[in-house]
Amino acid sequence: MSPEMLADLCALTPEIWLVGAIMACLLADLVFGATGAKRSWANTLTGLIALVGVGGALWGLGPFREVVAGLLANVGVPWGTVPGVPDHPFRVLGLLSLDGHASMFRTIVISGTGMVILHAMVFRGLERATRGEFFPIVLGAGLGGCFLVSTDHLLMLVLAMEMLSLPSYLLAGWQKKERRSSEAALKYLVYGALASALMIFGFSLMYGMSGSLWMSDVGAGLVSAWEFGGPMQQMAVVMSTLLVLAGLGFKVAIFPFHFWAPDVYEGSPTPVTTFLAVVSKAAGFGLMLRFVDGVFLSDQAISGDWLARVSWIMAVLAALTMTYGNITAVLQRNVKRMLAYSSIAHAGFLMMGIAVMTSSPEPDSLARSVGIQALVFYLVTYYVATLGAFGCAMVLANRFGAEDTDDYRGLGWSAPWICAAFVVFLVSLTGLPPTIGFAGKWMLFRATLHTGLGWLAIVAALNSVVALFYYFKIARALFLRGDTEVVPGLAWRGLMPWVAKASLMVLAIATLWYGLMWDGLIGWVDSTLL
Amino acid sequence: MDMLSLITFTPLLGIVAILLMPRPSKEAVRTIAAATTAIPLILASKLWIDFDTTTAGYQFVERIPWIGNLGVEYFMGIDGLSVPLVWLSTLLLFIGAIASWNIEKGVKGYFVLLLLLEIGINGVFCSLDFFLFYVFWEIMLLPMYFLIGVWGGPRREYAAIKFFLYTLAGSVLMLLAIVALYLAARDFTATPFSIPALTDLIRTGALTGGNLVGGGELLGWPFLNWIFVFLFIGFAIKVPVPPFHTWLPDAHVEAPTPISVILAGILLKLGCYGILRFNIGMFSIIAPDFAMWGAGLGLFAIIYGAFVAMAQTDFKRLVAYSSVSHMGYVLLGASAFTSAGLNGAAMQMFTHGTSSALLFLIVGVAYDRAHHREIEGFGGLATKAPIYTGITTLGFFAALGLPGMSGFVSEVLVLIGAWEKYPLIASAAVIGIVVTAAFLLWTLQRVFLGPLNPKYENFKDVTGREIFTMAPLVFLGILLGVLPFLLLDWIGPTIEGMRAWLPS
Repeated sequence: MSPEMLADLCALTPEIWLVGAIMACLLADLVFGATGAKRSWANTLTGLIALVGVGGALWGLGPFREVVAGLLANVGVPWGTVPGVPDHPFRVLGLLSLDGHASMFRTIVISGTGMVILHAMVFRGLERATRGEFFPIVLGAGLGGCFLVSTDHLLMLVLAMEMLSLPSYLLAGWQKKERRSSEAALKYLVYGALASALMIFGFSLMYGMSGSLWMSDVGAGLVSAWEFGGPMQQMAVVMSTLLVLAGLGFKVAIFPFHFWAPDVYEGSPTPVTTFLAVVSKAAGFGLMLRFVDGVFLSDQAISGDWLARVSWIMAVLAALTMTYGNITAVLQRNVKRMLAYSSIAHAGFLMMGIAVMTSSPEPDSLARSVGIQALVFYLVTYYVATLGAFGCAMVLANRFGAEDTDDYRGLGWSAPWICAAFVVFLVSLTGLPPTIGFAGKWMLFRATLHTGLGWLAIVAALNSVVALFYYFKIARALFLRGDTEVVPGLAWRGLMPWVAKASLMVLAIATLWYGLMWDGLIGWVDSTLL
Repeated sequence: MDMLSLITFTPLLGIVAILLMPRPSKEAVRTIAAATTAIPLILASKLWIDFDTTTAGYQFVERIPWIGNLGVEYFMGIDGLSVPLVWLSTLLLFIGAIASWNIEKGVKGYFVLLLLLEIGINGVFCSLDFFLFYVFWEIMLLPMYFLIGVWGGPRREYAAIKFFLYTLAGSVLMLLAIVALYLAARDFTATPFSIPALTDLIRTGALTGGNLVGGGELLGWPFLNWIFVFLFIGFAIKVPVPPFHTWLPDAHVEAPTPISVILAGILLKLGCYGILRFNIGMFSIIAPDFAMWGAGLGLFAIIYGAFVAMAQTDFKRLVAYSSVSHMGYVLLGASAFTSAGLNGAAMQMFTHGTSSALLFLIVGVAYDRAHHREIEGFGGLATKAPIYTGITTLGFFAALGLPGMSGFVSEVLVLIGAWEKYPLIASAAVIGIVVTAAFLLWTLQRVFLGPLNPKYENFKDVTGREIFTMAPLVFLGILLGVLPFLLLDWIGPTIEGMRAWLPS
């Protein structure tokens, strides 16, 4: 094996771990997952194998290992150099660009996948007979997410996108006997296919104008077509941009490409909803960030006139998305559906970062760096709080069969710790101190005000007041309504439930801790991305 | 840890203790809460004694870098404006904890939230870093929401979320102002949130926002004016100044008695404190442009609040609207920029803190026994409860500004101060005093005098615990009425320091 190939393989350590875990899970399910009573422990075993794969993948990523090595060095355990992923930007197989951006987003995607697997292991809504097959499919979707955030080549992008989407369609329809679940899967599939088609059509137009599939070449081609071409070519630029935007917008559920989200989120099993809201959305934004950065902001492609329009579109979409998401969420009763609209609203907040990035026509401008920083930071805060909120919703569904805000009446007194954690996550999603959500909102407001998008900041600020109203419908149901009698609920004991609950507590503590001490977190984002 | 951190974070010990105790008895939880609110009170008393009343500067300063990327610091300190409020808040929280003894539902959660509230309140008064200030400001919202929402009256859900939404709407505007101020200030200082540094930058005219928006103007209006207005709205909602006041009566009526006490006694002062500290202290070059508005709103609050209070049939609602009226004096006095006006405003915050807290405790006593608050539903209680009647009379006198009581001194100072600038407004404000006297005396008459309502044959007089919560407030009302310099000497130097930058 040539040294280059070896280096390429080393750089793909996390992905190789995931692939290995997929195969091991399939094998374990095949061997042990016979029938009847054996299923339960076989499922746990498969899940554990999947978790080991996720752990290995995280280990293979630089940042996590450095943290552990630092901790070990602190307590005096010598830790030698480990062969593995180089930290500098690294081009793999010609199609992947494993830079700081990729490593940051892969960390989010892989760890999110891990949490989803943990939730799936304890979620009662999944049938015992098929639970073992659930894990390799989630891992496959996660693998697609990893490639999606690493590539800057449009062909690879399409492949990775489908690799993420196809398992997601399957997962959405996992509860075969539930009508809502099947409906969700079909809806997701149809709209997803349409969005992919639109995006690929957009890519083909872009290829026609630039003769290349590399994002930076595409950018240069678009700008020259815009500036020197006739009206038809300008039309093609606008069309292709809009088509791609529609495809990307579908993936991250921004208005007006959001309409699949509420039904799919509500109908899917809760761990799958978590996956869509956290992993899929993070991967989508990782892709969008790279696409906007690579196509509209690449050095040879800067055009003030064109960029100003893009930025304006992004800002308007951001404002519409957050307002629509928040106002519609107010009307919801089903908690998952409410959180779905809330995740649409948060996509609007994240779009603010894109609008900021594109607001300055200079290469490597300050606007670009504060925009990226704010977007990624907000995404991290959204990731933590949303994982937590869906986790709590799952626990409540497991123990009390509660799905609607009406079912949540007075549960705060029966499960005080989980419900208190739930409130912490909701506060964080609203963006109040002392939680991590406030830090994210702060960075976004700073970025928007800094680049003269004051109106957008005001819209966002007023939106968080609306958000408070519906988030606290949950808190109100949990603590303010019903009586304070303790409802026993279904017994839910054993190791894995305990681990799942402990992980929620850890997330809640992290939400509070990083809400006060976010210095290190900003430093991490900065050093990885900029 | 230094003094101010100790005062602020001692309740945290109580929270940890209550949460970690396995199955604590209700009595144990209450005792822990009382103890961990008593310690800050003792420390704050020591603070009061050690406070140097000859200087206008900040004292007991603590300063540690916190979020280095942004230049945020953990920066605590107090001056003459905040020291009375710190002491008042520790006192009222202690009284609140004692008055909460009869809470039976979810005792653990109640006291944890109460202690969390105390951290937020003391933190706001002590912080000298705008970011830190905001964090403490928002920390208060959540406990307040649950305290009203879980332990409140029949319409508690509505009142709780209304309180939360109103205050949050104000504070997001404040947040935008803080972010903009930070962006404008960070070119001039390494600590763009430090309140003293920002104050200096704005007073000396170095900070105009010109580095952020072209020409320092936004939509044809100076950048600093926008910041001023955003901050003012944020604080005005908390005060509350009409027309932002509608959350107050609902929150007060539904909140349990101890929470009403804290709400009226301290939370309203937070808004006034913000206006004095920021709108007038920090933005001293902008404030004169808006002084007329402030005085006008103050006058409106005084008269409107008093008249609406008079129309109430619910005892607690009446007291709530009287708070709106009394907070108007703070705004009026502060807008005058005169020595008497500003001193009066700062003193009014303290005296209203004691008198309104007392009034809510009085209402609570009646409600506990009669389970309703209709003023017309009582009558002749004086015969059955002489001590209660005596305390109430003193409380009403303190609230309506009878000479010899604390309310008189602060209101007279405000009116004298306002007279120097706006004689017309000051004379109109006197109507408020007359109406306040009228509705309080009328209430006294309807509830305590006249023939005894036969339903209340067995009306019990106040218990020892109730006297214990009310006596210190009565005592303060009389003490500061007779010896007002005990407060004014502490406030004075800081006010004079502020006035040096304001037009005379």
